Amino acid sequence: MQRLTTRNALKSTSLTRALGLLYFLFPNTQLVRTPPKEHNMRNIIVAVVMTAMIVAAGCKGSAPGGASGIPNPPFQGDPPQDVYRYDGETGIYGGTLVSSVPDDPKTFNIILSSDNATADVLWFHVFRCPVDYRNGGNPPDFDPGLCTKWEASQDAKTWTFYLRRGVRWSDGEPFNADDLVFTYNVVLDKNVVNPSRDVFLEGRDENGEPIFPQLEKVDDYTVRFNLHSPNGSFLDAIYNLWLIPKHKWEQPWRTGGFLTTMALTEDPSNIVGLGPFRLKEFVSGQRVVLERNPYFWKVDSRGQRLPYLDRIVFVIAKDFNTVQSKFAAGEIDLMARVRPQDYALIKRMESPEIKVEDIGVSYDTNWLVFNQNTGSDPKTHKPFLEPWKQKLFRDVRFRQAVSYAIDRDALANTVFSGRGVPIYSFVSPGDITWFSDDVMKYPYDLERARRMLTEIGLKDSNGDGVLEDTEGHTVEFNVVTNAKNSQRVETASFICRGLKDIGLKANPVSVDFSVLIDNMQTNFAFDGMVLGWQPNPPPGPSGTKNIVLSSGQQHACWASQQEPSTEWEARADKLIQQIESSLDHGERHRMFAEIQRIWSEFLPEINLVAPREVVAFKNKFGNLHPVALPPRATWNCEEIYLKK
Amino acid sequence: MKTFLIRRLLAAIPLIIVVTFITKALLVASPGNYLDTIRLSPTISRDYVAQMERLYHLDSNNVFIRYWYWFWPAVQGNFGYSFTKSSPVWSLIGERVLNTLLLTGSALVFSWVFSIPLGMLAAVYRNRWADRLIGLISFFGLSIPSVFFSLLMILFAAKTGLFPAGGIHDQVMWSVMTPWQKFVDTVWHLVLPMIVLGTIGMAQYVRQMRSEMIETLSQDYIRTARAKGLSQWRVVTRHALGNAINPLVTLFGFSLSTLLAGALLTEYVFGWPGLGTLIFDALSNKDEPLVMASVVMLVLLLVIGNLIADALLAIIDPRIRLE
Repeated sequence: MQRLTTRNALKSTSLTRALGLLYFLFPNTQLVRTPPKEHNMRNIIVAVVMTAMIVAAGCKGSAPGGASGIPNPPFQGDPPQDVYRYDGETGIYGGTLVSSVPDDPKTFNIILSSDNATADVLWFHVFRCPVDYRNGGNPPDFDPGLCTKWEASQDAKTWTFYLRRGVRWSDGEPFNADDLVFTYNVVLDKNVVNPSRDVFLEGRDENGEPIFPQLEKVDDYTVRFNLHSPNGSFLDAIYNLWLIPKHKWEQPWRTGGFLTTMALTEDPSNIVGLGPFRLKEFVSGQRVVLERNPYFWKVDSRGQRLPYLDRIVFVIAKDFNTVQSKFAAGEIDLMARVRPQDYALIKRMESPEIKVEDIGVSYDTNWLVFNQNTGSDPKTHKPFLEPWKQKLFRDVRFRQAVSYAIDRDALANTVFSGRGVPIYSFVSPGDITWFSDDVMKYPYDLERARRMLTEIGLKDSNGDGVLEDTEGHTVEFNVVTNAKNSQRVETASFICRGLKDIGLKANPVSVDFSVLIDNMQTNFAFDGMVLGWQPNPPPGPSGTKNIVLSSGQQHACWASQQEPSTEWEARADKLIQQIESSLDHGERHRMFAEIQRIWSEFLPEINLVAPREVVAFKNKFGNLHPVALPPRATWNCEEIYLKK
Repeated sequence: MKTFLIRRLLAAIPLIIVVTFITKALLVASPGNYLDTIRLSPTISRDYVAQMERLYHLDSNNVFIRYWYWFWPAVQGNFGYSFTKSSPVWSLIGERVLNTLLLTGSALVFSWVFSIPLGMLAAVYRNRWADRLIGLISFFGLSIPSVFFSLLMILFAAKTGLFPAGGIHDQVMWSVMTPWQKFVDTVWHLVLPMIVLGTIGMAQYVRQMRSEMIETLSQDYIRTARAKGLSQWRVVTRHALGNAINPLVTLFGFSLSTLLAGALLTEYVFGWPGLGTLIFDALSNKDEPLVMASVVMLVLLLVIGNLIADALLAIIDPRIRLE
């Protein structure tokens, strides 16, 4: 309330100032000799302007009430028999958390969605998978969630999940194994084009038909997946099975209408999930409002039902500066991502009410890749990459020399405003579960870089400061990056400036994102490229599979290879397969560390810098423990509460 | 008059076909498509992308085939579903149209209400301090980029707390407000973006109004009016204004056509959920059905805006007849 009164006081001073301005203009109009009639007119105008200003001044900013202690909307039904008991800090009921998303969600159909804005709003909050993932756990790991437990057979081919009894959907209908079976069938339906389907794909039979794990309903609360080949990462796949209610969507699915269900225009009460919140309202370009799911299946250590918060509001604001201003003006409570360049500015806002927290190194990585494709265009029969460039880029010494010539510390200090750490592995040190430090490192060393280039046979024979190869080609190439991302553009030009010091002429080129993707995946027409990865939970081998595998579409140096083109790519491919078929955690970690070592030595991606993540939020929330994994702040939304 | 209107509206049909075809051709020719962002996601497979391409008819690079896929349903009134938002395009446009009209309409009123009297004032007190002050304001409006002006305003709002920092409504309290509070809240959010757009629009019209007025005031009939002993006020309002305002009516017609698309940058910075941001996003995401529908709408609006300007001119100026 304090803030509001000052705001009003400010408004009244501005009112007098505005009136002063009117009087200042007043004599101006009087110079025109006006008949008395005009006086009336002017009075009317002044009156209208004044009314407008008073109206404007009378409008107060929002002040979502503090925690009332009374859940509104209230809980309904009883907590389930197999209730999930949360043991952490207990809170009080009531209150609203206001956050922001940069874009409208694209659909409320969680099965069909493949974009970040939808995920930001729906994942964790509205929909849940059979198992949960605690982003903020120590270490981050899977959590029973909707299952009481799960079991994997010794050969990692049979996975059994035991569901909680008595759980209800957000519309009050009971949840059981039929819903899980239904969701799985929808995901596997080839007519329902969805991104989760391929996560379960095990391979293809002799007719080219896809093979998926068989799901068997043991009883109403037990399901068993029978796999054809061992998969130690099967929980990662299960974490893509966002459960939807059978009683709502079976009919549309059977009649082929599933693709148009749960659209943005759907009545919010039809968006039924198992998350702690349910959809209340969506206004395009403005907001998404979530309210408490009154049937949520968790209780705290005192036996009080969760979630504590009444509502979560996502304000849709595209522009980063606008989000920042809104946070500064107190209109939103939480900035889940502060850009490195804004950190200093935001940090100054820190006060007893506002917390600006460094949550550690991000999972995101940035890298430079050199095209290593030896293929040629099937139509024109011209090689994708000129032969002399192929020879150069495929020489591991060249890539290592480039890596030595990049001053990662300076890059972190300039482009990332001092808010980044040098990285040498394709897994960021922020990922404490999977990161391995046992990799080859490339401290800034120009001498060494120059020596290595001389070894390859590059030398400056005509004295123009740029090296030539043995056949006389001047070593000049382009480094493309995404024009819309200023950080990437600056990174590319930073690298190119640095490469000049070792006699390589690299030209930074900014192109449209679509061009970049075409270059990487379709026409392979690039020399060097600067880009990055942003992993989603769960991190680890299954999320990076398509990056590491030589046949993967995100294997940036040469995407979608038929056969691994080098011995080390073959080794990495094999390790990925071995990780998949192993259940032993230690073994899996060891093998993933081995892949990181291979990659750091052969540098299919030259990894550069991982930024540090910062979250800014109002201190009035309890249990708000942001972590670097998306969605950063609200991963435990049912536990967050508003302090009194 | 009636035949004129019908003829002009019919002429819009080939115009729309040509413009939409060019738009489609450019969309096809420019590299990549809507699926590019998801193509980079490590968890999304090739098969999924290929399936989506078939679903959206993005698998052919032949302009005529792609245009036909759009054109034939469109003729039957089906403009398709937006790729990104999976809703019918007209419902998406519809829910944004009112927001944009509110902003640009009020800005239009703001700029005309201020520009005509200020332009007259500047002309009457030509080369005196009032003229200079008005000149200063209009040069400010002409030269300041709308993005920068908007950012300044946002900064002003955030620093002083007098106005909200962007947006159209109070997103938290809106659902529990009374209609009167809703009205007040909207006005409160509207003030700053309206000032930005209004000032920029006003600046142009003030200059135009001033020069027209100066020219009119030097006419013989004005001297005659003064010689009759009429007051300055009467001379200006009754004799000069009607003649000076003529060319501005044409301008007004043009400004109508910018009503729906002219506020992109301001909308973007203020987070105003209008058409500008919708169309811009559609373009940058290559959301083809939405782009095509907005192109159709904008062409129609341009045609209608020009029509209204012509009709208005015919009504005001007896020398002009529409045949």
